[in-house]
Amino acid sequence: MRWQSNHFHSLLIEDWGGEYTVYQPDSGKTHFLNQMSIRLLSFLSQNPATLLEISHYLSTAFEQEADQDFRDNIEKILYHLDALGLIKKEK
Amino acid sequence: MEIKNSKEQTDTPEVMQKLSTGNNQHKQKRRTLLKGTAALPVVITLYSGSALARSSNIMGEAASVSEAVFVNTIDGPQLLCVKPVEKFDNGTYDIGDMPSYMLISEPKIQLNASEQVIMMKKAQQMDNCHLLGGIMISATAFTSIAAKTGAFDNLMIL
Repeated sequence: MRWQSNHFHSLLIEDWGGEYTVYQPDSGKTHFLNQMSIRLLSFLSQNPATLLEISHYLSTAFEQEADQDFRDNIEKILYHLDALGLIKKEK
Repeated sequence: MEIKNSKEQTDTPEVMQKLSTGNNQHKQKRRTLLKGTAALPVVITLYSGSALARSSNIMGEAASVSEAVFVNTIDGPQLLCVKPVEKFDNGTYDIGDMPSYMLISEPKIQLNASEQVIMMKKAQQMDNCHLLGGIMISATAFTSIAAKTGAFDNLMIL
């Protein structure tokens, strides 16, 4: 299964020194994201990716070990972002 | 290979401009180290402005009975117990435009009792407040709500 961003270009993103507020016009909600979350969103805005690809990208970018725990956490956040409408599953 | 290509695509001027992350990798790494939460993605959804506008008085319960507001009455201190109109998933409460409250009189607290007994009875008043569906509010919240709504006029606070 591949994930992709959902209306990424409509988001209003403000950088607060490495932490981000993201206004989502579709829902009228404002989200607070850290660097890894925003990198995840921007990564998926460029191309759909699988959990494995996303985990590999983030682990490399943030010098983390892409072990099972890390992948599990990434998977959880993917489903959370999906529930918020910030990303979606590729059809 | 595909992932490498993806990274190159991610770092397009458009995206980088949008994120304003800058090019200073050392600074970025230092930030990553300093911010413990950078090890995992974090997403927190904030209240929308419209939700805040609808709910004039959103707050959490006082963290402990020692931070709660007690009203000085002729029968001793009584816990100010506020009845919320709604509880949100994140544990906060909306106490409404004009908060309703009650004073918890049982068990009676005598100020000449030992500090330990007073604290125990205050905790029992807290339990009674919860049983009635109420919450304790902090002195800070009390001051804010009192100034905005006048709901607590004429109360003498300890």
